[in-house]
Amino acid sequence: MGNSISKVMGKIFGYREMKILMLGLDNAGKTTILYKLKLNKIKTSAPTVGFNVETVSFRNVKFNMWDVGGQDRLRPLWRHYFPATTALIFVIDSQDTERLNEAKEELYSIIGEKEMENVVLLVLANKQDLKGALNPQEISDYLQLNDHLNNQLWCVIGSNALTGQGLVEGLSWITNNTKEK
Amino acid sequence: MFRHSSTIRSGLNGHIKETHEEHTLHHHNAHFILAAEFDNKQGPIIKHQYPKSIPGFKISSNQSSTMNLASLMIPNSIESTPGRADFTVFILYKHKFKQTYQIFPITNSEEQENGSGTMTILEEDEGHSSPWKIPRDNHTKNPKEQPLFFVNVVSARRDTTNKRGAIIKSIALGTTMKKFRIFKPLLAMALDEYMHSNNDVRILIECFNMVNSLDLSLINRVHSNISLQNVLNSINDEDITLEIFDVKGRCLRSILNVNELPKTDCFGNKITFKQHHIEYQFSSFTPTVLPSTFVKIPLQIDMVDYDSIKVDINYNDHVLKFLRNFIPELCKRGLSASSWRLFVNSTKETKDTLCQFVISLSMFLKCFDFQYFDNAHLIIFPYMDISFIDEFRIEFPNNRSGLYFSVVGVSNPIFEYQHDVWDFYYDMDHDSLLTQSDVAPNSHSSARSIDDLTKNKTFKKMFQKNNSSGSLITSKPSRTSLMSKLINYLVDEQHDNETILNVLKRINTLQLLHLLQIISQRKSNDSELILKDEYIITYKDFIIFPEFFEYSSLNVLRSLHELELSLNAIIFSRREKYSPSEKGIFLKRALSSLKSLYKYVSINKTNMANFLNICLNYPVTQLLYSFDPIRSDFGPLDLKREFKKLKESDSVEGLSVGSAKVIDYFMSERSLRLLCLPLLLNVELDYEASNFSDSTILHSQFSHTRNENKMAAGFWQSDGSMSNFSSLYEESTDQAVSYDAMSTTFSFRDDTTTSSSRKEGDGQVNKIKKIAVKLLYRIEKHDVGSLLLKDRLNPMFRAAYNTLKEDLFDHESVRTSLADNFAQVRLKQDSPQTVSPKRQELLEDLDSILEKQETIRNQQPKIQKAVRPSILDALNQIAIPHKNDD
Repeated sequence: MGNSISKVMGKIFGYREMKILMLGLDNAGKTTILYKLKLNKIKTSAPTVGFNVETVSFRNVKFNMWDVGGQDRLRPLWRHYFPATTALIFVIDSQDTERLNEAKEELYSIIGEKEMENVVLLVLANKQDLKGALNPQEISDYLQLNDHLNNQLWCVIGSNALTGQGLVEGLSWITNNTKEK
Repeated sequence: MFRHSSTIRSGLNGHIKETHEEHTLHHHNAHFILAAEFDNKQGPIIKHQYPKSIPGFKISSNQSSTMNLASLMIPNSIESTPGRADFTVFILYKHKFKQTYQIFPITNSEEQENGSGTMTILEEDEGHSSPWKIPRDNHTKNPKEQPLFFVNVVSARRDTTNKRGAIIKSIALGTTMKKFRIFKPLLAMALDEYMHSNNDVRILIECFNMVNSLDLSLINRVHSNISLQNVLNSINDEDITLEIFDVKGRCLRSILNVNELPKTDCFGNKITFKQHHIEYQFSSFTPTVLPSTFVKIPLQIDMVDYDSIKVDINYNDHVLKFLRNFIPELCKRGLSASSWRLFVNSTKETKDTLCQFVISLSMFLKCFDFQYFDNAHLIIFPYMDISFIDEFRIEFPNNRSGLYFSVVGVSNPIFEYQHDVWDFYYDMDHDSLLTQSDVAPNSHSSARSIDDLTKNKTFKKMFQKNNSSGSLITSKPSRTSLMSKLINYLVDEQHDNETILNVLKRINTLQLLHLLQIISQRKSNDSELILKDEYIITYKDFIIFPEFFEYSSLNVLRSLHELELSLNAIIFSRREKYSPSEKGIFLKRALSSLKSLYKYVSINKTNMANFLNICLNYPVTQLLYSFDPIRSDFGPLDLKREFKKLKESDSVEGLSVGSAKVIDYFMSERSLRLLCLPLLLNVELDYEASNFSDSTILHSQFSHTRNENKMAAGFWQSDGSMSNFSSLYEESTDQAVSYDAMSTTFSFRDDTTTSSSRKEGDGQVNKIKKIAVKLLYRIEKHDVGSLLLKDRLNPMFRAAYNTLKEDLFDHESVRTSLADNFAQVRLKQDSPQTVSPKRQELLEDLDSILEKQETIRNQQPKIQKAVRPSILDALNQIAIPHKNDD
């Protein structure tokens, strides 16, 4: 019922709506990305307690973007946000190489969940402006997505939330790869 | 066990012997103080617990429960309002056998499972160990312990030295006191200091000790007097309330049970009385770490316990709007669906407002009074974080059986997707209520797409149509209940919380009277339900005031209603309607009602207070003659017009001079008029009453409307028996035994051989007058009752009462002549004193009555009198019984 209504509405008004879940370790830059997309401003001045949710419109698509806190004790709560997710944006601090493995483990833990098996995965290799940051290819290699994600659409894009670099490309990729859904 | 042995050593009055230090150490006011913060790497963590770790929440254990507690103290999105403190409330329940605290309340079955072996000792322990504990009426009878209420203040502050640019910290104070909100200002100040001090635990300790340095037994005593509090709550008149608490008056001393108002508490902390508040100064506490300004700010506590848990929000802003949506949905549910789970979400309001909203609803449910919902599994969660959802699912599985209720406040729209945890989901920010029938048929699956959700809502808005799948709730044709109707008026007319509560009380008493009538008409008591259950199932509005469901309260309510019905028949009915003998029966019933009321109030002060409370909440019973509160659809009704009709009716209600506004009229006081009307009965009625022998003739001869007939038949059974519904009452907690005997006063079986009242030496009317005067005299002797009589009694009635009282008691102090009284009344009218509009109307009425008195006295009584003039006629012929009539 809901899907058919959605399709009819989409045909009449030509827009879509989808839920995007943005996860990642603490201090990866998730909230900065969210508000850069929403307000084109840098709003981050405190860690996220819980979550932020904003609607971002892009090319006739309404993205309901959920940004959930990434602290150690908040990660077990991520699964409560999984239902009805269309795309997962996993944000990685490209400079924080010490915790890259931790990030990889968390990512695989998420995409291993049944509820997330059909979502498209966008990895934002964030903080590309920082010295010593790994580039998207290096991140991709480290994550070994090519080896493990055969049945799922995925993409790694380099980003800089402060300037907005890579963010629109990311949304564009999601839009292009979820049309059929 | 320690508490038990300690009790034996110290004795019942141990607290009196306590030194200030001991008192502070015993943590009577606050039991725990906690500090939490948001760790940049870990998330919310508990930083300190003082004076010890809460059993079940040790920091070192690193259990998920401790983490959960921290997430209640550091709520979602607090970082988005830096510099602005917010408040949350959470509740911990003590498991008596494990001696640990837990987030979810202990179920009855869980308690039983733990065996009764140690029960005896622990019950004894509870009864005496803490004389300072708030002695709520039912508390000591209930094995459950008072929960610990934690009031938590949290704040985020920008901090450039912090890697993430801000620090987020909170402090929570745990207490069994339901007035925990009084500590809010102190805690907010303490948090400010704590944040500046870089986690100095001494600030917490000093704040904790400071709170415990006060002896709050005086205010606890006032608040624990439930019957008095009920009356004070029902007065709803600031002038009278201020008069009651006037430091110069005797009433306040009497309430506090002291000869002189105390100037300090036991430990020398200064006490001042301001209007209806007590202010405690922290005079005996000397801060060493906290700034000296802390002790200069007094703790102000209202002596009137308006809400069992104090809230600062106006019910009009959110609560009534919610009820307006919620009650019709409840009414749609079938009988089997009496349990429900409600989630309330708001991301725009402060957590403080959200918590208060949930607490307000919990007070309507009487959650913390161990009353009705004692047998139900009930969860009140003022603010819940997503981390609790799994535990909640275990506590409240979707397919659980039995009676269960939950009200949960959340600040996260993700809960809307968790369909299996709620039956109702209320969005405070948009004032919209979702029910299970609004979501997709396969609602148990939590994987519903956001498109579905949004489109459902969008379509509902577009077509204003309920997109009901009907899979979980059987929809019935919607009907607007009396409760919903009056809530609409309350929202429109914008009233304060006290007025709202009193309107809800009157709806309670009105619907209760109607339910009693239905129960009385049953041929056999085939219902196993207790009255409160039956009430909730029948009316589906879940708002009950337990004080009216007491056995004795129901009898008072019934007696008042019987009195009203009798007076309607005696004074206000057309002359040809009832024969003199029938009127004789009505006189007997009026007398019987007054007698039972008098006996009840004579027993003790508590009974008098209960009686006054019921009087103050006596409803517009005439509504029951025109409408059926269970079946009538009040939606299309214009209550303003209906009330206008009532004012013109031939009944006691016809004497109303209430306001044109619906709520004001509904709220107007009726019982004093009812109790005073017998003073104006015409003694000639006695002589009119001839021999009669069978009271049952009345039933066949009532010729009022169908509903009135039903009402009368319901209340006046031929045998006067209450057995049909007495089993429905819960065990009475107070004077059930003593009052049981009184219930025989409703029986008329002994009166069947009554001969003419003239032969009895003292006529029925004189007896009625005497008992009415005695009853009013009892009220006058009550601290609050005297003020009510002074301020609310119609001057006409006061004059009649004073005169009759003089004759009855022959007291020098009350000796004033009828003429004097009337002269005083007239003097008041002519005096330039400001008189309230309502009073002015009464005086005008009195004027017209006196004028007509003169003209009617000179006229022969007409055979066919108009009904309204007949009232005046009855009022005119005030008969004063002479002493030798006794």
